[in-house]
Amino acid sequence: MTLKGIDEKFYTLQDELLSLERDEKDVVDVETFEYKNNIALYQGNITRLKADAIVNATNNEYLGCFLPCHNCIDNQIMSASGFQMREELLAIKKYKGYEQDPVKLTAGYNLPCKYVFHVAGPQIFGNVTKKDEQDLSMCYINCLDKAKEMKLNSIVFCCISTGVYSFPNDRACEIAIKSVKDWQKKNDYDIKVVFDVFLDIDKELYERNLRKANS
Amino acid sequence: MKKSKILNKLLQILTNFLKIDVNFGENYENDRRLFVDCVTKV
Repeated sequence: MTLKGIDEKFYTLQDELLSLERDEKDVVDVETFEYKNNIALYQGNITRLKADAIVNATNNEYLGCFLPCHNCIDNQIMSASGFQMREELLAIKKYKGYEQDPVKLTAGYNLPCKYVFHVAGPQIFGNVTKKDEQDLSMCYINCLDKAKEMKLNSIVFCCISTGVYSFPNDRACEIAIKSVKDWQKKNDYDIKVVFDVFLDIDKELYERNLRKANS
Repeated sequence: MKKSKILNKLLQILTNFLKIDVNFGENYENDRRLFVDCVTKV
């Protein structure tokens, strides 16, 4: 996976195309959201969001989805950011190795966000185990720790491990909210957290569980 | 430059790089999918 030897105009043209597409999508600044206890909910395309960091739910390869036009968040992010993101991930794999950090950090490139945090959530085969729940929770905690370390002001989470990774939506939502809330209690750090959902079912679950958590 | 013109130039570069022979330039949406397909194949 390298563009070594390709016409040097490729990157300029690609960036020109992706920036035109980004502008057409109407960028949404997360600073304009309404927050309750520093948490907001948004339904829509994560690649439209202007934030310090967005979280990409990727696979264990950490190189982006390789199914052309697959309707997963990993593919959406890779397609909208540009080829440079895959190259940066490949460089991380090559020079730093996989195991060093559970959150792989790249620039946002042609996305409106500054950074993308790539995490691989647990994939469910059969019943959800305690370890699956802990692994999912750690995805949120590790991202928040990284954001704090980088002194970021906002972070957007997608629904990690649901969909093709088969984590039940309701339990995944409960874990996501609890992990963030617990992290907020333990950390004296002011960061705006956005839960970005795509499906109506997730929107309903997050609305209900956030109401419960805030009451 | 218009999006379709940029996309055509990108597809020319990518198909040359990948040494594949495909038709493009008639429909923007099809070309956009082809672009993603080519990038994924690199």
